[in-house]
Amino acid sequence: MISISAIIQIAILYFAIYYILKSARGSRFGQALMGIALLTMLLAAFTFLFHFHVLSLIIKYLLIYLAISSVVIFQPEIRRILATVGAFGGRPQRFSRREKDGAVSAEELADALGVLASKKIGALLAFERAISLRGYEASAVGTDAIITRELLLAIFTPPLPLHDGGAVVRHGRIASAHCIFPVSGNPALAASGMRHRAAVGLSEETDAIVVAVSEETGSISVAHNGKLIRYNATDAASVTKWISKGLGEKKGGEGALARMAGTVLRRFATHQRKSVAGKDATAGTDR
Amino acid sequence: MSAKKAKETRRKRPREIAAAFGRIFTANLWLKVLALAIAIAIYASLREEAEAEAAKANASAEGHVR
Repeated sequence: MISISAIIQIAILYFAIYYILKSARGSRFGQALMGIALLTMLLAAFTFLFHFHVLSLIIKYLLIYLAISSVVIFQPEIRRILATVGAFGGRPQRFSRREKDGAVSAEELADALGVLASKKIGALLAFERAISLRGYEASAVGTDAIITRELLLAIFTPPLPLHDGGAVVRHGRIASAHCIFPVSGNPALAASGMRHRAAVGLSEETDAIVVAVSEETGSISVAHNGKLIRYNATDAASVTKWISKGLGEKKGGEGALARMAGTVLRRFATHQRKSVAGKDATAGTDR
Repeated sequence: MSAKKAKETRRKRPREIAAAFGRIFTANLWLKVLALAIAIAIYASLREEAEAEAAKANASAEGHVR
């Protein structure tokens, strides 16, 4: 017989494990975690079925050492997951609020990046979302400027002082330039330059969407969750979509339910108000 | 809004809500199943040990009181 206490404990464990797996999904840590989880479950089932107690004990000790070593091996990924947990409740930024401040739209920004790409001017632009990027702005130059094509050209054109490093976009504005982002150690990026490695590195540690313009090929790449997607000059629509996501213009699927609930509650409140007003009116006529 | 449209919207809303809940339930389904399996496995493997520890702690506390 399963007690309520057992159900509650399993539910708490389930939510914790699901959240960790979901946060780690797509990263190297996630893949390793998934592999370890599947392998351990298979081995545990095997040893349990055949009563192999010695093997079971070995697996138990192996898991303890694996947990300790994974902290060292997957340090950036674990840091990112912890930062995501820390930013829980911090919603990705919305753009509509910022339009009043004169911030540009995703289309205009994609167009500006297209100009940089056509001129083969390297650029690195990180869009801050739920996880703060202020930690990477220690050595940066604060700008807090409206994004314009001219400003992007002024920042990233060498040998101007701000062209080295990346720029952080916060609330639809360039918060700072000349930022130093962490470089990814992913061996798959061995052929890529430091700009692209930094884009991936930042996306491994945070939930930011990082756009990198290559000065060699003039292509635009987007890094998100530790993955780099390269686009040609013809893929402006895809880049715009990413920028839109980075700026928080796109409304997420999870928010849809909240919006729907809001609409239902508003309608309910209106209905209540109307019925109260109706009753008052009836009472008035009775008098 | 016309009465007909309002009626249609009212009829559609529960279906939309149900669809939204369905989407939430089916999203990452295999991940949810895996997480549940891991949670049950961890609970099952540690339950006996935890209960024994708790019983030991209780016995020791009772002995201390006596």
